[in-house]
Amino acid sequence: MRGSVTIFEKELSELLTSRRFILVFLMVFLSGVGAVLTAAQSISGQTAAQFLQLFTGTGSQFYSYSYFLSVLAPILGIAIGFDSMNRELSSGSMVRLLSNPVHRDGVVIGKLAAGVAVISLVIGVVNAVNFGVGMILMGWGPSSADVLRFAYFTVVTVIYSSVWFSAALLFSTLFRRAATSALVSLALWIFMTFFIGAFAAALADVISPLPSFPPPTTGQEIAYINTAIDIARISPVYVYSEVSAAILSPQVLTLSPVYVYSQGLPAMELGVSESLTLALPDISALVAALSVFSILTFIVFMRMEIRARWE
Amino acid sequence: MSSGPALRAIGLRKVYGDFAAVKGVDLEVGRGEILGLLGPNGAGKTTTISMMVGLVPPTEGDVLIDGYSVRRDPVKVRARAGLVPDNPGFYDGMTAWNNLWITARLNEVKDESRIDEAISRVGLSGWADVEVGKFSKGMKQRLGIADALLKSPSVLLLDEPTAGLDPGGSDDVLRLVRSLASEEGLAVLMSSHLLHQVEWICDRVAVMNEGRVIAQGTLDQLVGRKYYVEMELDGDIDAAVRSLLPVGKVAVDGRKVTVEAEGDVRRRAVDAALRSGAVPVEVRLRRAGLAEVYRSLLGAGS
Repeated sequence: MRGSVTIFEKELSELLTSRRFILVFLMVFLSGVGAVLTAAQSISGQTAAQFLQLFTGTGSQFYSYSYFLSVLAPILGIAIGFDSMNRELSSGSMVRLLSNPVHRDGVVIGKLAAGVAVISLVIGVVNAVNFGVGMILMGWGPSSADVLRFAYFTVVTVIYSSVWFSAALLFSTLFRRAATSALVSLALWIFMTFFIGAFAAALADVISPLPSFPPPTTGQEIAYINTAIDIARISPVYVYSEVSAAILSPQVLTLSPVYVYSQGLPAMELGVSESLTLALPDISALVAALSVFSILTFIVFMRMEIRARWE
Repeated sequence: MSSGPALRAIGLRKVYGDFAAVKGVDLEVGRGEILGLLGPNGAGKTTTISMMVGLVPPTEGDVLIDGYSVRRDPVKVRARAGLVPDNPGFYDGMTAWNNLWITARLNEVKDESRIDEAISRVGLSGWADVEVGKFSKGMKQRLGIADALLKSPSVLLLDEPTAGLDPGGSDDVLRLVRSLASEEGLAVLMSSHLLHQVEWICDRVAVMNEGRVIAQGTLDQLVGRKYYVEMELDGDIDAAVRSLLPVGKVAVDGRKVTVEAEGDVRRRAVDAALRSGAVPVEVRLRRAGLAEVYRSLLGAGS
């Protein structure tokens, strides 16, 4: 696509040299290291401890590494995307770009690719460093299956952060002011992170109410929980938490309401490909969300009228 | 390159809901010619220019640049048209050279020495490695022209290029534009509010109001043979005015009487004043300017 490579290079150079990038990078990096250090202290004495427990936080009193990423990866995506379009529109640089022989879709593709590249860089570096820190702290290394699981986890985290980046990019195309798109992106993140559980429960109460008398049957309870989980799955945060649990914890055998967690039964662990199969619907959902936000950005931007003077 | 005019707008219309911002604009700019686009705020000048490079799609009509249609070949049109908005948007954290490098890449200009050439052409040689955020508005405007020239355009579209510039900065920009048209054969369309600037550098003028071109032509064609005889009189002013009425349209401001007429009517005006008993102390002949034409086209309030 004509112009997309140049725009990709320009975006990459702008993003990587911005103070915002350094700040967000440090925030993700330090939180990750903190979580791994705390997890290492908690599980170092356990004889049956597994390497990936460093990242799932099993047995730790502190928030886990994967929890931190579920909270901070959206911030990374939003920080990169929230003013990507409207800043260029208000400064007039978009007019300059588009008065050159480029296709408009090239602009969207260039910006999307650059954002995903920066996210990959941050998540990749932070994960790699913390993986190494974990090996030093534990004094022993991961198995090849652990390495593979962590690599998949890294890819999924990049996709998850990119979902938020693409949502922020859409808002920056829809709203003229960067402050508005930032607020809308953050409001969505707060809702999807902190209120989705209460929202899902409230809606499940309406859709599949549990009778107070006679006491609900097991079937009714499962229906209620199923409904609540299905509603919660509109949140990328919830979906990501399911995926990270399935990929990083071989003991997770199902993502259904009957959440089988068989710590005492090593024979019941899933293989890497089985865990990946278990997480595949959720991974597909994240990819779908990324695609939907990107396509909407593309449609809105293609239809946008950009005057020589943006008033 | 087509042999016709470098820029042709044919029946250009832009409608937003019930509001027609541009109502059928026809314009032509030849190579080496500067067309001044005048009009009050909201006349449709910026929308017209935005349609010329495909930033805003026309509702009806078309724009041809070197024969390429902005509807069918917008990329080819943008490769041949350089746009300089009133406030060229650069990446403030990047140097002038790096900003222009992006434009060079977008236009597939491989020879990077052309970036230096473009920068030196607008007199910013010593500023190539300075961040654009440190530039004055005039310097940004000149860099905007360098940016537009990098693609070697045949048409230059300038949207109020001297807005917010000091007189020195404005003169520099206008001289540069004039030389680009006369020495390099660029077709230039320049929108402006500043009549004296348009009068100074433009070969032809088009006046827009409420989305329409209400007049266009050379300054001579627009002004015609309209002259003003300005006289300072001693004596009976009322009698002098009565005597001057057959000579032309008369306006009185204290002892100053102005007669508007076709051609040079100084002798007839002085004779008429003397006949009435008034004595012309001072007589001046002034040709009507663009300002008078503009006011008469748009009404007294313009």
